[in-house]
Amino acid sequence: MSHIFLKNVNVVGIDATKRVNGLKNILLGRSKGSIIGSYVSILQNISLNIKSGMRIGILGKNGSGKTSLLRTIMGVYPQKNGTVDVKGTILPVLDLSAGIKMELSGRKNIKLLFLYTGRLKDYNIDIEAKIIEFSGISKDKIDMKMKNYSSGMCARLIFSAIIFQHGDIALMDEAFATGDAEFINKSYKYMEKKWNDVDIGITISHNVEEIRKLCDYCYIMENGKISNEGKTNEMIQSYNNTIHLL
Amino acid sequence: MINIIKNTFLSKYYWQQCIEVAKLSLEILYGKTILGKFWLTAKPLTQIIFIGFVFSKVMLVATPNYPAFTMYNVLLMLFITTSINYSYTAITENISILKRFNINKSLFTSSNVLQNLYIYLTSLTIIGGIIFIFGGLEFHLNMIFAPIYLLYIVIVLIITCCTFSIIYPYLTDISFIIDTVLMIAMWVTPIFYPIEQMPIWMQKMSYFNPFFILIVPFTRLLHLGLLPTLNMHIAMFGLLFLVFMIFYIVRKKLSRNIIYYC
Repeated sequence: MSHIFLKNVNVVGIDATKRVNGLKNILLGRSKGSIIGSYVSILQNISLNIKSGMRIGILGKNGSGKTSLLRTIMGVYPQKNGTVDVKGTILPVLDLSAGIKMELSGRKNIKLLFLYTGRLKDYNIDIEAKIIEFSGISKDKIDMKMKNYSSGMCARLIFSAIIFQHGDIALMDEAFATGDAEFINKSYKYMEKKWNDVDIGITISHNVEEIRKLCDYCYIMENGKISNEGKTNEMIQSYNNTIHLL
Repeated sequence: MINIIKNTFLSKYYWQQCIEVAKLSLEILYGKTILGKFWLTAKPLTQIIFIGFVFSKVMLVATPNYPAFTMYNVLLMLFITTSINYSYTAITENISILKRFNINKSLFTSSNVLQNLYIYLTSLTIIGGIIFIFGGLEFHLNMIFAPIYLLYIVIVLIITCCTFSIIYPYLTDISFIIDTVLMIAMWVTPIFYPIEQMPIWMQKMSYFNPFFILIVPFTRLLHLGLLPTLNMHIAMFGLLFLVFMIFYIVRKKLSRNIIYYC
């Protein structure tokens, strides 16, 4: 049984651009910054209690802290204080293009994505064949360097490589729209199946109808805080009202 | 401290990941070139030929079987310096991956050392083979202990590189410090000349030179078949303890927030 439990979590980042630079500036006291840099609050006083079986949607404007919250759950961002307790293996479906090495072939990049998600032991020829087939990339192109792929082909391969992996907790960040219309349609169905199979699902999307369809509980985030939470329909209404007020 | 060792250095899965990253990095490195992995050996071989010529014919360094002596020392020094030079930016260069995946921050550093270890062993085999064909390579029974001492070098190197890669985002000046130290180490460590040519006081001082402790016992074992002395073993243990303690402190103090400094 998986769970995600966050209590009074504060995540504080550091603006390293505000650091003192240059020994001369330090000695002459010319620089205004400190050696450490200035602190920037990323998440403030976040408390969540997500239990097995829940499907969670996170709503909020750009920069409100949605992705940072997912990264805190993943353990990428360290919390300054508070408790983060996550039980279950995480399947991250975030912006994963960063993990791609364009100098390697599509086939090698599938393996690399398995490695980065910590599932190298699940990687084998069978799963590789399924991923290639699902991505729709032809056999003569899969061994080409990814720098020769179109952006749509890259997106399809990355999406396919991630979606064929298993996990207890799916964290999705705008994960439903990749590739061309045909692929989007195919991947949407597969993602829905995946979404229903996992123990806990959390998704971020600006598409409120998607959230309404997939989630039973929602959080609204604003300036790094949870400003409201509740049943999906109520939260969507509340979120839409906030947007219309602006 | 036990957790660091258990979750990183004693984890089989961690090393599987490192080996895979190293293999893929090698493919990227040599995949673009026309001669491919031939460059693994071509570059160090050229260096050894020229160093061997200059030191034996111009500077008249007298040591038995000088080509083999140069090969053992230069290749090991190259392995160490290249690993350090390419490792301290490992976290900074891969920060976009570290921000999206929950992977060990030392993964890219360790894999870089393994990649250089592969290059070192390949070069050593091929260049050693060439010298052997020309009759300049001797084999000693004590060479069977060489893997143990090589493992020691790799462990010290990985810990050192991990330390530098954590410090670098906070203090980029460290790249210039490393460059300077490596340049000094190249000349004060007896890799181009035999240890006997050093003044006695310098030989004693060498016990405080980490490059001396890393390189000389291993290459003397390969070249002359001599096992390190008890004093050298103490120095080796001391160096390992020191680098691990520095790594432990640096990791504890700086590793947590490193993501914000890259």
